[in-house]
Amino acid sequence: MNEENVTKLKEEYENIKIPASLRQRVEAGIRQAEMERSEHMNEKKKSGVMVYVGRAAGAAAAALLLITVMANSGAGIAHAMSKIPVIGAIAEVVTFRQYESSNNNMDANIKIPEVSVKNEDGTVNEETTQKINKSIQEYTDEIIAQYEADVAAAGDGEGHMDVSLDYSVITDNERLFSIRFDELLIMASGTQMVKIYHIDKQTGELIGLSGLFKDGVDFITPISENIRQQMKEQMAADESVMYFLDSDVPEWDFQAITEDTTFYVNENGKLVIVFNEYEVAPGYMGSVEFEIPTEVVQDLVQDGFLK
Amino acid sequence: MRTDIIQKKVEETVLSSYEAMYRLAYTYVRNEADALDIVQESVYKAIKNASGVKKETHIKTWLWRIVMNTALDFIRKNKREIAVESFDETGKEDCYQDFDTLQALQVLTQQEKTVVALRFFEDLKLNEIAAVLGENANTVKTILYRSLKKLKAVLKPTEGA
Repeated sequence: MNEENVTKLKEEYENIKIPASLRQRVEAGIRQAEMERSEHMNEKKKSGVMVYVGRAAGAAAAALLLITVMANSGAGIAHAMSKIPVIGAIAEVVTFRQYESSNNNMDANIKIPEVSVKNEDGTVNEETTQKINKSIQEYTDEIIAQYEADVAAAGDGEGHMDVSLDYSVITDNERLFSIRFDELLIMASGTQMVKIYHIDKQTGELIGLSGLFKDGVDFITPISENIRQQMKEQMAADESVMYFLDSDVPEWDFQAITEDTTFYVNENGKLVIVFNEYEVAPGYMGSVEFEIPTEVVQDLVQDGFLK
Repeated sequence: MRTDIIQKKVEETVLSSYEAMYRLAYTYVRNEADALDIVQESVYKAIKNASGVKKETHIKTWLWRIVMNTALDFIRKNKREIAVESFDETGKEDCYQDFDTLQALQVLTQQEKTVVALRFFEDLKLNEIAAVLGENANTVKTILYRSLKKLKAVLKPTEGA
């Protein structure tokens, strides 16, 4: 065979017509696999809880050596403290610890805030304070344990990893205090995870999405419906946008939010629903957010949360 | 490596190479519907088994291997000869070249097709092809030479026509 033939063959190979439906079929394959994977993950999570507690406890003990407790003294620390957002009277970040570690190109920088919740009379609300700090602790221990497991797995080999966890108080108004955690994991590519804690300042309790609404109302249906609508509009407007919706196999699709779906209230007083990567869209879409028009839940929401 | 990271990487690789996956699949089955089925199945397998990839640099090779195996499985299951048209030895020499030089690949075995497509069309190195096939580089070289000889017999140089 001569050069000319090879060139000719290659040309024809490159001219093999790509059917219009190819992209769709590729997306269907991705969707099918990701839905199965997330089902599998959910099963694993349920059965893996007990195992995990044991592991986390060990990791937490090891982590203690590296945790720096920020005291209220020293120039560098004063600078760090000044960065803590100003918080209202009822809930505040009183201090934070920092877990820092560096091993062979694997770095972790995890900030762990400690929140204090006070009753209106100024006494500390022990129950909520303990509950939120315990939950934050468990969450950060989990990230640290995963990091340490990854370091151990990499051994002396080349591991490139950078995990950071930062927090910010995103809402602090008369009714609601919300603290948001952003986990960023960078290996070959990045993964972004969001976790948000909310305290209802009227009751002093840690609340989830259902805590925004009146007792016994169905807020899940109208919000889910609105999200599906927004997904459809976005996909129609931009073909690079893809959500798990309206596929041939309905069980893969986004069905509804849950009472624990991540949310926050943005600066305009609108409810924003947050989905982590892979939850409702393929990984390339990243973590996605939907602002819900207040009209949708007007009659359902308690006073003072949304505008 | 964390599963979610490697999965995302595999997903990115799939999204950047699905046209090439389709062409390779088409090379085996030579019809659109079957090639589409093979691509979808390959994508599904790749994402689903992403955690099995040990190194990021292996993703592409591994993806080729999946397409190849899926296509071969498909052919085996469907147990039918796929669009193998016999060559008309009495035809004009430039006849194939005008309508379909790629048709010439049908003289090759499935394995030979894989080697030729990956070497000449997708520009893989011999050792990469060896990894796809699970053979050593010398075997791949032998297959390649044999394939080229076979192709030479059906693709006569145009200047000699």
